[in-house]
Amino acid sequence: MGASLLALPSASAAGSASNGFRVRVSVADVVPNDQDDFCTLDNSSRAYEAIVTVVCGTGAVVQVSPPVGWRGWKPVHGGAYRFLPPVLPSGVMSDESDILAGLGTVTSWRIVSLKDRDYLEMTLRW
Amino acid sequence: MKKILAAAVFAAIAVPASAASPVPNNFTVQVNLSSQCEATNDNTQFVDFGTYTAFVGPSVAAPTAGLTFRCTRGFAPIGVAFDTGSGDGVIAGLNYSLSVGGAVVSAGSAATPGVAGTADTRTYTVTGSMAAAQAGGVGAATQVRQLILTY
Repeated sequence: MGASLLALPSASAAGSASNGFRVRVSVADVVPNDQDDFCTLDNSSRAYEAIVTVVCGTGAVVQVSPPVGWRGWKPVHGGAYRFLPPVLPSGVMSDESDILAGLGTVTSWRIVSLKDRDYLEMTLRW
Repeated sequence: MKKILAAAVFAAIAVPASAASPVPNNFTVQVNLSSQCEATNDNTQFVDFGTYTAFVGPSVAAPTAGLTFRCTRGFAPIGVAFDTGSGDGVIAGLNYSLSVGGAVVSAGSAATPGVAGTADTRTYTVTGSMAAAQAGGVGAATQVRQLILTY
């Protein structure tokens, strides 16, 4: 008779092993850096009720006529003014940013879309 | 003369035989094996959603990571679960969800005299998903999670 090997039942002690891993994402910063994203407005005739052409590089159709019943601003004679009303993605005015106003040089407007807000920048002259 | 010869023959018969004969002494080799598992690629894998454009979605829709454990041969763990009990989480203001598939088992080799055996390996694939149309926000863009194997 030779030596014998005794195989004891393997212990099944409760235990655990953890394997760590990382979840990762990079949030894109969207800033207007391409002139094709802008719309240009041409009103060279300066005539009352003239047809205004808006040219947008994106191909989007933009409505520029005032809505029905629009009261408009109090008339200001002379000058060109710039307004930057901050509008949140939800469509409401943001109370976290100031509406900047300053002198404008040309009549134009654009929509700037940032990561956390959109705003409409307008330069008006009449 | 006859007496002398007979005595010699008797003496020869009475001498004990000296032929070789093995005498076994049995003993037992014994070990108490405590089976277990351990991670082999801890903190090396990524579930990488790539770049998320706000209100659009991630550049990688279903990123995956392969998490591997090695276990005692023939040892079957109870199961796996995520550290928080759920695969859901938030990074950079973005909700995500993780799911884990079944183990892909690669059997190890048995030990032979002079040659050590190898472990069974169990690989679990973790798959992520991140809904589109989220705004995102402040917060870390990387988060450490754990897949816990219980045995």
